[in-house]
Amino acid sequence: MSNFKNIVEFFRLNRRYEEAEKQNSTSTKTSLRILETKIDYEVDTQEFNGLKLLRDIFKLFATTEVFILNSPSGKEFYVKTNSGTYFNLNTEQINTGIISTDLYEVPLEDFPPEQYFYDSVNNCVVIAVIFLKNIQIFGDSIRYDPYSDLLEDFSPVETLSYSYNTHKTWIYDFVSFFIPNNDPEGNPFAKHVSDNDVIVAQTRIAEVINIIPVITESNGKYYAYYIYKKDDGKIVPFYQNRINFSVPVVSLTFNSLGAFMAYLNDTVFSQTENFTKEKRPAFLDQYKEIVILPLIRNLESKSTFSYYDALQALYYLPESLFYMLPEGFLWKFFDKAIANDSFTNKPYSKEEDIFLKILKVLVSTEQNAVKFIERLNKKVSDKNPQMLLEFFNDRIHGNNFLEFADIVNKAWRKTRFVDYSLEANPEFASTNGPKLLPYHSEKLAGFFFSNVSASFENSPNDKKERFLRFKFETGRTKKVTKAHPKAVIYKADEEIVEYYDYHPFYPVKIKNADEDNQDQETAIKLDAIVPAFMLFANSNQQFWHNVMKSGEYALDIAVIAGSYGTLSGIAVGEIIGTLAVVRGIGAVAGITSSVANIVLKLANAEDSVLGQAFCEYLFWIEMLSLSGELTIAIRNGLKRSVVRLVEKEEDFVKLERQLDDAFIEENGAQRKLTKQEKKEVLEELDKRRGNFKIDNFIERNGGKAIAEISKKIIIQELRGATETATQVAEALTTGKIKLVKLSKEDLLVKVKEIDPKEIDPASVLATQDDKFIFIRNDRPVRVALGEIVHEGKHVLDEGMGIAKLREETKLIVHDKFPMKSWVDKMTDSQVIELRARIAEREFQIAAKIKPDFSSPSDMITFIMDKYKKSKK
Amino acid sequence: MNRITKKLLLEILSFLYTRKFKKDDIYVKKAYEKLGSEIIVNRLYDLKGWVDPVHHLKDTDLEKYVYYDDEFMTEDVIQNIYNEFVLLFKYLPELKEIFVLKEKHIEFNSSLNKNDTKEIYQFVLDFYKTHPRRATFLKKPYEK
Repeated sequence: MSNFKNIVEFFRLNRRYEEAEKQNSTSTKTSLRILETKIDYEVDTQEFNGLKLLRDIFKLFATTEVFILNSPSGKEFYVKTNSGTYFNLNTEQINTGIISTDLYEVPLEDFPPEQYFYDSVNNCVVIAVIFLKNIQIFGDSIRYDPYSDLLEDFSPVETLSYSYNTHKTWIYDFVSFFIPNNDPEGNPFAKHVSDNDVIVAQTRIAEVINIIPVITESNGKYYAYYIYKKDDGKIVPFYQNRINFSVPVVSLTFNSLGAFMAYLNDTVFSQTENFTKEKRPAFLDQYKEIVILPLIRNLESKSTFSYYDALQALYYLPESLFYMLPEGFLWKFFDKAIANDSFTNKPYSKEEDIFLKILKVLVSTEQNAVKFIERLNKKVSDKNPQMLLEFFNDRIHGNNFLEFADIVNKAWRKTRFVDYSLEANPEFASTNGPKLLPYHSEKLAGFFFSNVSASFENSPNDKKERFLRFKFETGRTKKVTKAHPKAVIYKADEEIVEYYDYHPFYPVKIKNADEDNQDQETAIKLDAIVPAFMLFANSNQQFWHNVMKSGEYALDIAVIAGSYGTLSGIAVGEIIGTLAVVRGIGAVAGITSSVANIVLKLANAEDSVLGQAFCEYLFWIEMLSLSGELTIAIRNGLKRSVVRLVEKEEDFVKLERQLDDAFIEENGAQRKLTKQEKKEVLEELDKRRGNFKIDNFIERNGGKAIAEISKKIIIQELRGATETATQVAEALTTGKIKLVKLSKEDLLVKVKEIDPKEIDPASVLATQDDKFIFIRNDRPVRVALGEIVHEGKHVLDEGMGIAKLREETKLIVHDKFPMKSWVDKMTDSQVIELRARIAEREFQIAAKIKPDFSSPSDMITFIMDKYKKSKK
Repeated sequence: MNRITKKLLLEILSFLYTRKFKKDDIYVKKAYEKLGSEIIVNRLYDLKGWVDPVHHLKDTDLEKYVYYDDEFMTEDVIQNIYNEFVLLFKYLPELKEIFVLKEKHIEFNSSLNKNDTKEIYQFVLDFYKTHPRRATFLKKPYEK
């Protein structure tokens, strides 16, 4: 029986890969695919080993297609040489007698040359699919066979129901079922035909077709056409080719945008993010026309219906395509959603879900995360003095609230608010909570009880500010005098309740007091350091769980809300015990667990200035681990704590002496550090300090000529400054890059020798010739190090093919500026130059040198202008 | 310059320029088949660089080519480079017409006199040109 699921499965991009993987895991045979016909067959290991690898031939001639000659003795396969002659893949001879019109060409698919073989037994060029373990192993051609397992039950034309995850809630379906064609709450999407119905039309003739459909829209219907592969040599009659694509083998007609987008999500967007090859760019352009542009128009329209149309499209739009929306679009949506005060899920539109999805994408960049938290910290509008954080808190519910809290928590880590100091955050001035706040909650008979509850209130000092007020039941009692109704005066115990105010974004530390159960399931996963808002969200979440009486929620934690600025008045051990370092930290923090444990013990045991300094150091390591990236706030905090321990070289000697005298506690006994432990701690700090050294180094040596700086120092300074600088340092160390410092005159000779056709040799400041980097030895260190990174990047890029470089560059977002759209407009040489400029600019930013270009767009304009004529 | 040396140099310079072989190339192609691209390109570039007058600076040692820099290279790296040169000389034995591989450096074959080496320098100068694909030029927006 025909089922639309089979259509989805057949056209799902990765299906063949998954099937091949499955087969490969159980079979000793190798799957081969004939380049020309796309037919698959299998060979055993011995046969496979007999195939001729075409890698070197393809590389030698930069092959992009194979030419086939139908000779009387059978097919002959050729590739074009660099001089335009034809090279026979079987005989490996050049055939000069070939007439090009006798040949027909078959383009290579998007596989590395290692996958191509010539099978002399079957006389064909094949692709070995087993090697292809990564994202995309099959090309975009697929053999459509109407009698294959998935398609055999279909008729040429039929209407089928497509079950997908709709943007409407179950309430809509429920009401629609009983009141057909009714329009609950003025639903603008109500239709007389089912949104789920899809008309499936097939030619039922076996063909090689393109798995990427041609898509279009007309009169509210959406179409996906699967057409003949144009390159298969088939001649399409002119009368069938009057529209922009060949006659479709399979055509799908959707009644609704939702079903159409859901189908493309299921078959294409959930399967790949690579839209650069074959018909994919055209497909993406069509998608933009049909989906993205109307979405933008709808959001900009003042019509309510248009707003809901935009919401519908946003619900289905894959997150990977949000980059297609214009800059500022999501913020516009954010502001519009606040202005409309419309967040709860409606029967006809899951508005709350859509808003959360947008929010998640919106805050994925550091810049937007910061903007988001800063926005939450302000009032809703001039008319509404409520803090925006509180506004959302009132409106987002259930599981969506969990997600909202998670988004806030993650975005918060990228902001200035992770720094507890009043200098960084004067807003924290009114926070008056105690340094130690024991927190306890327990679950009894499915309900939660906690000794802390919180609410949004006016700040104690500034009535315009909104703070979180925590009501804390201390568990301690005091004797109070009470009057009995019968006029008897008596003394009774009464629990002491205290109130504390916290700024919602104040950083607090949390400890799971249950040492035996570190992995408790909690409704909101709490990190070791969270904004105070998360504690509020946590208690709020308890409310929801109490109401819903569902799920396990066994939270048993102690909270230490400390004033980390000084750490005085609190035992370091109490703070340090809260850190997740003991349980292992993320790789991003770059500290081994053994070193972390020694530092931890030092901080724990040394309740002194030294212990506190180590404690603060660990705090920032922890923040770095949680954040996953070195934000400006974390970098500043980490640097501050490192400098506090070892600012200058002589501090190492002092610290070494302090470590000699330090005692740590182990298994209940005190002991001194071993020699190895001391060495590891000092190395850790030296390495960490190195991260901040490049700007110090340039500050001290920026004016010196690079001639005065040894290669060893150059390598040392480059290492760790940025990712590319580190790679260049490594390549210099292993001799894969050779750095040559030349006088101005010698550089000019060198440049003239290379002979740049379109550039005045005198204007060249550095050059690269294969593995050699030539820089001018009179250049000041301030600029020369960046120039080495620039030229080094060229050398690092040498071994990579230009196609790969272009693809990689499209993924780069430099200084919040995505490069994707520019790469398509650039020549190969401009792309190569762009990569080096980005590496140099990243270095300049890291080294706190004024970048050559104030913005990435200035840089691109320069490249497009100065390098435009170069053809590579 | 003998016939082998001349052909070898021509093959090396042509290969480093085009990364491809001409129809009548013998020596480098044979070594390439054994060693692959990375070793061949890296080490031939090193040797070419030493005999390329354009690379000759005031402090260039023209007597011997020290292929490592112990100021910043580790023992492992130096050993690795040496091993690659051993392989290069093994599969491209014609190099011995010009060079001799020592443990810490490479020098000219003692059969070559000063005029021979000068001829080699001139030959490289005349016949080698950097391929524009493998050269880049750095200009700054604010500097002429």
